[in-house]
Amino acid sequence: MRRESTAVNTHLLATEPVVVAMSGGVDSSVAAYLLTKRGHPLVGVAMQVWDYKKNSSENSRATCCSPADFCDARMVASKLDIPFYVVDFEKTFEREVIQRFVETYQRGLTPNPCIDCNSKVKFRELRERARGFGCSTVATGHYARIRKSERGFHLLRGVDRNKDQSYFLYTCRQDELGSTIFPVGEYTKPEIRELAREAGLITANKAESQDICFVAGSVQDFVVTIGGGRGKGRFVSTSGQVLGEHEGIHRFTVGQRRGLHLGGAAEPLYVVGINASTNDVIIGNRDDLKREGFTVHEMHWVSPDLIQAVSEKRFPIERDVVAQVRSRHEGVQARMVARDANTCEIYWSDDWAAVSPGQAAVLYDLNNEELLCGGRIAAL
Amino acid sequence: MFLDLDANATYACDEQIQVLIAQAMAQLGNPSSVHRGGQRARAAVEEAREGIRELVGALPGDQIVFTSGATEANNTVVDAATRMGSGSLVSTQIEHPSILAPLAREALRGRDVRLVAPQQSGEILPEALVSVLGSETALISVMMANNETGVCNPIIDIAQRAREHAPRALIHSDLSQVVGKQAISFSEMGIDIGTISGHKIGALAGVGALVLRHGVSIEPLVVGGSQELKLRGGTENVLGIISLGIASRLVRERITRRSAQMRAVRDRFELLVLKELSNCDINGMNQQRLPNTSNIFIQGVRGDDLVVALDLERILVSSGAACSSGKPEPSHVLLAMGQDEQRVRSTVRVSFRADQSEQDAERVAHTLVRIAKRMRDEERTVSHAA
Repeated sequence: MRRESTAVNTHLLATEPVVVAMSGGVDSSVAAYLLTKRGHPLVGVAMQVWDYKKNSSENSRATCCSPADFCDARMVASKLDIPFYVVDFEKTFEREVIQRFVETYQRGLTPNPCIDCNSKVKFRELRERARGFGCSTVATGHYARIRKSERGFHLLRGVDRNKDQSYFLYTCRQDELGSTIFPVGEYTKPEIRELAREAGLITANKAESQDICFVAGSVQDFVVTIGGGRGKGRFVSTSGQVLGEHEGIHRFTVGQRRGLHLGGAAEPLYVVGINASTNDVIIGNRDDLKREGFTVHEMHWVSPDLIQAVSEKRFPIERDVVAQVRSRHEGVQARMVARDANTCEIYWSDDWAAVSPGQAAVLYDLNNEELLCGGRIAAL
Repeated sequence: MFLDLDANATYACDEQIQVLIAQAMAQLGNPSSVHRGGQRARAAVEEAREGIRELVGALPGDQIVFTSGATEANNTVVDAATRMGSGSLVSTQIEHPSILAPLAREALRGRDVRLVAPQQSGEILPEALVSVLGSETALISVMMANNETGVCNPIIDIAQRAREHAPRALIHSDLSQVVGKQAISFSEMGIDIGTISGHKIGALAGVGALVLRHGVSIEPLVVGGSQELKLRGGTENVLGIISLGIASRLVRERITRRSAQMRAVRDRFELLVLKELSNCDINGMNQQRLPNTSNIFIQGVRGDDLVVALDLERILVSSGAACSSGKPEPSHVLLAMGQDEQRVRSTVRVSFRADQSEQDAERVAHTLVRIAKRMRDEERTVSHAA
């Protein structure tokens, strides 16, 4: 379990301190611990992104980044004897994450706020603020790895495939990968907990945080509270038959099966489409979700090889890849065809997966190890 | 070595006081006990009381009442005035929260509460205060010097004019920040009651005092014991009180020199920053200010981040008042002075101690300028990228 020497970006551990983002969870606590074990000066930063008191009647401990979590982070920092500060990111978070989250649902699409948070808050603004503190390197508790080669920096899945978070990191640029450390990506979650216990950290046995940290109750209620809901609409079958009424398209995701409350069908029913202009939610069976392929836009190119191919405009760029289309998805083999720098077509090879417009599609190499590129799934 | 430039948040005990406090710890008793252990504690408490009386220039007939700190003292004042009549409670928008919060609570209960706005310079004008007074006014509370800007208010003038217009009012001034930084004379101020904080003058936190002019009587906030002439129930915080007495005597002996030293160091600091850094401004610069306080607006720099960056270089400042919540709100003082939120959030407070030198001022000025320039360069990069 001693893998410190294999961690990349150790070249960054020179003389200036590293900012470590500390949410108050076990992963970022251990990230800080692993770096202190190497004897490196650290600056612990908790990112104040959302005013839970103002925005929620309950001050839930189920979320991360709440005042109680910062208290835990402060205790860990004190234990590790590193300076610790709560830094205010609320304005950026509200603009780049919350507003986009709500608007995406209102448009009948499925957002992924963790990706926006990583790209706009953690890997953009945190880095800028860290530079102001005199720190050019940032460490986080993400389960992902970075490798350096002659061609540049490679982003790899974390060692623990169950916890891998590389999917959320596809917007990372080369300069960002080059000044980032993911200490926990070299370990499995049980190992991380063991390390936390070894270090006597208060967060060692802390429960996992929820998927969406700023929502304490239901996502749909949150969308209505912050942005106002969309009006009622109709459930419509693929043949155009009206099946019933629903409470607004912001409540549905393509591929969703639960919570439709449409009885009487022999086969399980799915949301197979959402029409934002008519407020219709299209209902079908699993086969109706099947597509030959789909389009991804707002592309980010991550692997050095693809970055070079795109910069040299060698379109169409084609690769056999493994496509992961939501956060808990193992990935399915597919063919990628990029015709320009912003757009990519994905064609399933043998198996297929239902895709939700608005979600991220992230493409890995055929070993399902190195992250190549990613983007947002376009409306079908 | 740490350079503590946050004296307005707390003025940490210097070594001399630490030693004296440690000696006092050896012989503590309950001042209410009849036996000699109690008598020793009683004598120590009374000695401390005299030390404070001399420090603030109170007369022999004036009363010194020990409290758990300035917050309790200020709460006591608002509570007492509220019981004294049904008239309005008048104060200013720039007071410490320990005045503003009890007043807000009284306003919620239906009391007429009036808060006077400061000038853009941070000063409270007597005319502005007088304009909201009525003959029924029950309380007038105006701090002598603001904790964030250091700007001083003309208390003598305010008290005199207030007395004419509101003869029944309890006239109070929060003296927490001014005591220990410049010489004051309670007896010449013309106020009824003043607030003092222990840890702002180098004593322990957890002790403070009210100074009551001879003949002024108030009802206690904390009841349940006959201590402090029944004005504050509860066994005295003997160690805290002793520390306040020690600090009072030491400060009083050197007040003129302390004041001059702080002013020279602070002025040197401000001169250097203004010379080396563009687009910055000292709030209340042309006003009468506390000699140790500098409240600086630095355009294009987040105050909170500057505090962190300076801390990493072992220089301790704050981005406003000391914040107990962990999530700083923009300064209500600077907002009341008419500044916009962006400017307020680009402000830091530097407050010197009396044992600091001009070399210290130079070190902090150069460091602050270097960091501010670093932060501004990045802001330019970001705006280009966007």
